[in-house]
Amino acid sequence: MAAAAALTLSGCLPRLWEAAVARDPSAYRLTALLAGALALLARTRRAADEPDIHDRQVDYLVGLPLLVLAAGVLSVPPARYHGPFWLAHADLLALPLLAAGAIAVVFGTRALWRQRLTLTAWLGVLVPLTAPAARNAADVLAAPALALARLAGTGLGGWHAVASPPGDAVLRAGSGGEIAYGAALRGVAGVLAAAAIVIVFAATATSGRGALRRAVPAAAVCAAAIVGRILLASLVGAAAGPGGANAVLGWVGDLVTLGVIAIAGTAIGLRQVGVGTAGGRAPAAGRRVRRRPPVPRARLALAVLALVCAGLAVLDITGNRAAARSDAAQSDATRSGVVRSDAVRSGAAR
Amino acid sequence: MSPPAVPNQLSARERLSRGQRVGFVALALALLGLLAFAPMATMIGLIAVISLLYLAVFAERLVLLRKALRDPGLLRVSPERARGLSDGELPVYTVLIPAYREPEVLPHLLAAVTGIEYPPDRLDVILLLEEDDDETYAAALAANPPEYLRIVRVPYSEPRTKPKACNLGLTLARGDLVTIFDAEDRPDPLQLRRAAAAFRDVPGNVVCLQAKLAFFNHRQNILTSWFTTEYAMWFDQMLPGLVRQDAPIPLGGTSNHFRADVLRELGGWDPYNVTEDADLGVRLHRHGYRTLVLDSVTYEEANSDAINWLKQRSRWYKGYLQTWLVHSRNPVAISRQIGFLGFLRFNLFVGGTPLLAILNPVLWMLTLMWFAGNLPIIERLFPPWLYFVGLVCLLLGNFTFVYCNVVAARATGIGRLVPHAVLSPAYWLLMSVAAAKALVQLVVAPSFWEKTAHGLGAADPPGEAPPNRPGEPVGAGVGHAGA
Repeated sequence: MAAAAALTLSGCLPRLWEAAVARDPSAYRLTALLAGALALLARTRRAADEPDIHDRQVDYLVGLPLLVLAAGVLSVPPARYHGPFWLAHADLLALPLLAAGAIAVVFGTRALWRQRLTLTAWLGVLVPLTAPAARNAADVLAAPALALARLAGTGLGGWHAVASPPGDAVLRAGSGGEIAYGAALRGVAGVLAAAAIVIVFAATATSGRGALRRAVPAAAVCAAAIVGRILLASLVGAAAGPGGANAVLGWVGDLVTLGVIAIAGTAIGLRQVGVGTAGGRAPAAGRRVRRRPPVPRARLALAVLALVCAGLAVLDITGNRAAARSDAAQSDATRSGVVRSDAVRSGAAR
Repeated sequence: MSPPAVPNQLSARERLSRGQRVGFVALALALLGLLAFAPMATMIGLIAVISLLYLAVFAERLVLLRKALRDPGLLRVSPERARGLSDGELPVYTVLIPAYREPEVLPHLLAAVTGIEYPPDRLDVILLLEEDDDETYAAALAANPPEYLRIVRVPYSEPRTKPKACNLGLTLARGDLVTIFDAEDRPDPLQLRRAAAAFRDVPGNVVCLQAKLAFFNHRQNILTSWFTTEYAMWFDQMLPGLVRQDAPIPLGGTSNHFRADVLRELGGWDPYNVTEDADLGVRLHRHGYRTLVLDSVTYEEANSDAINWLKQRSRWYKGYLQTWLVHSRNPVAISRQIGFLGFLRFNLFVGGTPLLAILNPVLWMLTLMWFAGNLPIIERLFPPWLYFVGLVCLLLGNFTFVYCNVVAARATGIGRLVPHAVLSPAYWLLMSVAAAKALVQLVVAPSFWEKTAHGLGAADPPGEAPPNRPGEPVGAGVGHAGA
């Protein structure tokens, strides 16, 4: 399934990676993809009271339209929205639909029903946001962390604030240079990414109370990771200068922070479902729950899935490449326009 | 006595008659030809026909709703009147209870049977169990059933369907009146007395009384809520409306009471039809007999699991399609028997219900494609004259169905059903999956009986009965719709 998803997204993953390295607010989508995949894994366990009633005809009747819908997402709206569709990463909406269809045809409708909230939340966090909307949302969510950064930098390092534009805090560290905290809160371990993790993690529960029980520790882990990183950057900056702080706040630091969040989240998740603890949830038991696989033959489903994924990959690669080309052309045009206007200005000055 | 038999031309043993096969092939060829030579015009024509079908169904539903609201026309028998009949005035009553692999519901079944207020010496209860169903048989023997309950093993033969078992029960029945209950049913204890009293007073051509069905577990989840509302709409609006229109009544699966001699004369149930009850309702009407709705409720367990629900509903839709195909084999004959208007109503109600459920996703997809992609082809498929018809279908049609649901939910007096009724479009999605499954099965396994599992966590606390369901209707004597 992971391979199928990766194949399908082969068009947009490089662009998301570029966004992650550039610390663009849209980079949170990479984290959202990862969080969604982990959340789906977390919901694979059968409930004790789940009826052992399955129907392969229903599996295909539910799964195939979902796969068609996933294909529709990559073919119908682009006809209307063209480049902006791909630039806003709206193609990612196909992924939860593809996952839903794949789960239905490969693992059965019962497994899909188990994942209904997770898939809905995943779809929700992948809803396309325009660049300004994403930036504004990130700025609002980052404000408390940036306040903390200013406090830590001035308190621990003895630096002074140079500028505080929305979504950033720039501090001057003596004569050694400046440290900008904002980029660290926009990357794959930034505030939007944390929000996506919390939403998707909460959706692995089936009740409001359960969602709260999962959202609170997930939010705590993310907050601890973000705050800890800011403090660490301030400490390293105080000890080794701005170069050290910038290394902690760089995109590699983003990946390390995301890894820490993933490990901590997985540990909490495993503890909540009772793996490795004596007091864990009792194994599913009862007349209607048996250990035999509910979907005995899924070879046809896997073949169908492979075909669909190949088709989606072609659509995704073509669309994203075209969008990237037009984006680059637009950037070049803008740059040359700026150069031209500079030349005009300098000519006028002479 | 040999088992009754439904005439071949009225049985679903053959999916299609020769005439239908020729007709369908000719239609398919004509469509292909038109699509090849004038694809866009053909597609527009098809959409126009479908839109007209939708409009006709909406109009029909509104007419039924109006008729039912103005005068539900239910047969009401007061408890005093029902209990007032002496033992000598009561006919021998046969209750057929077909069951298969349901040992867990036997305690409920026996409680329901022993709770029936009817003289034991005039009661003939037959529990019909399949030959290979040893678990239910053992449980039935162990439960110490009353003397008037006979356990009959149905010998193995194809098709293995409920109507086949019921036909065997009919050959063994001692009663003048016959009814069917499912194993998990909880009928109104006075239902047999009410039906017996009603049969004394209704005209001679009324040979069947359909009691109302409702669910005791409507609180279990949103699916049981929707199902409860749907049943309320069916038994409080649709069936009374059909009675008022003098249209064929597709009977419900249980709690239908018959005069045994007429049932035998008609050949009993069609063992190849998976909604043998709906088929029988149409056959009764074709033979000039009439069905009325009895204001007495049998509580059942609403399917609380979506996959289980899909299996059950797909069987119902498949049976409706079978019934529709069987009775459309000779349109001239049926039009003579039930009138041209009756035949049209039969098509809209019995054929239209599963067909619209199958077509719905196609039209939803077209709508979605229009909003998401603004595709020029959609614009071409809906020229202005058709666009407005489609818009009426989309807005007015959906409103009509939600409105009917809300009215039915409101009429039950169960407050929580109303907000769920507003969300009923999600229920239609399930119906469409079931209809697609029914269509697939109609081709690959027409007489296959999708077994519904019962006892899926349905509690039966006392006082669960909806507040204003007519367990004890007011009013004395017997009265019926438009008699």
